[in-house]
Amino acid sequence: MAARKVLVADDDETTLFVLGTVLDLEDFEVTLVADGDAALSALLAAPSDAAVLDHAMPGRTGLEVIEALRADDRTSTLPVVLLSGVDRDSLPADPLAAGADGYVSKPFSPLHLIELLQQLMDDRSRR
Amino acid sequence: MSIQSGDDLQVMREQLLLFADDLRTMTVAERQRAQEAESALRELNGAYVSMVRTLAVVCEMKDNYTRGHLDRTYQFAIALTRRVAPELTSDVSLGYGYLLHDIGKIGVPDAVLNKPGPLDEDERRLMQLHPLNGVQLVSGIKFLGDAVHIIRSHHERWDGRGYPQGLAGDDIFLPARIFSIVDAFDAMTSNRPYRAGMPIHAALEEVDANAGTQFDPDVAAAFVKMCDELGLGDADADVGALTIVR
Repeated sequence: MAARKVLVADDDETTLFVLGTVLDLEDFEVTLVADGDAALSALLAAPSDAAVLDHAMPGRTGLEVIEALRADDRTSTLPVVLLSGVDRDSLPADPLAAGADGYVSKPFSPLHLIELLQQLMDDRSRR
Repeated sequence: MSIQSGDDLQVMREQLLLFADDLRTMTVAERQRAQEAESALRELNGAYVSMVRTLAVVCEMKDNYTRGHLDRTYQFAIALTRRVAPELTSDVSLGYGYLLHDIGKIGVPDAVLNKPGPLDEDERRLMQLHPLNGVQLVSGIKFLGDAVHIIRSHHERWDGRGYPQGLAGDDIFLPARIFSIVDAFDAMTSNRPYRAGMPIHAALEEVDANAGTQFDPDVAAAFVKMCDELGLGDADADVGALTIVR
């Protein structure tokens, strides 16, 4: 089976390093970007199997990237998990209602996040 | 990077601790996977050994005069390999080769195989086909690895006058050179319906006398030394004593 491709977008180096390392060790093909605009153009340019987006990033926020992804046929069903350092209630919109498939608050267990991604990707391929 | 607030550092610290904990979990899981793989491999190797043994015993049953030959030669060959080529002892395929060396005899007619007396020329030719018959038989069995070279070359001679290829010296696969000595020694010391087995000390003198012609001189010397150290050379012990190599 070909390695599943996952894009991670976060302006926090620690998060990128931690998630990038564990995804790599678990045999995913990882793309790391540090802002929302780069995330959106990368996801639209090449097919990915899932994405993890921080909410508070330079350029588009995570929620804004999700909105744009959902509006595009190529990425309308892409499994996306929103990451955030703030409480879910403090976000401008409820992430699941805004199109995210999952929500994880920092600090997080990378393995749990990967389990969630795996589950979302499996659900999607069963549909 | 900007100067981070105390809160940011606290989150980073917690994040790294979670990361470390996950790495530990992954390492433990990986270690367990490796152990499981290793035990599966051991089981598979065990299955291979039983399969090879069964094949070898089937072949031995056909040959009335070789009962016990298989076990003795196997034990001797392994012990001698440990002495002359310790780096090869981890190669399990050599054990397969020692057990299956005569598998090709399955294609030799019973009348020739069990003939009570010397063979005539036609019969000898048939008998001498057994190494290549054996190679052909096992050629499709990948896990036998280098065993095939023992099956093919255990009747080659150091001086090049053996069969089937007439290879000489170092061109003969070392474990085959080891086995040819063990095999000849066992044949000399075993009783046949038409003759009694030679005493061990006489057989050892014979091995020594043929070092450099029939046998690799270094391996022959190591074999004689091994038997001396095991106390086989000084007594008139019968072949039953040979099992002490275990």
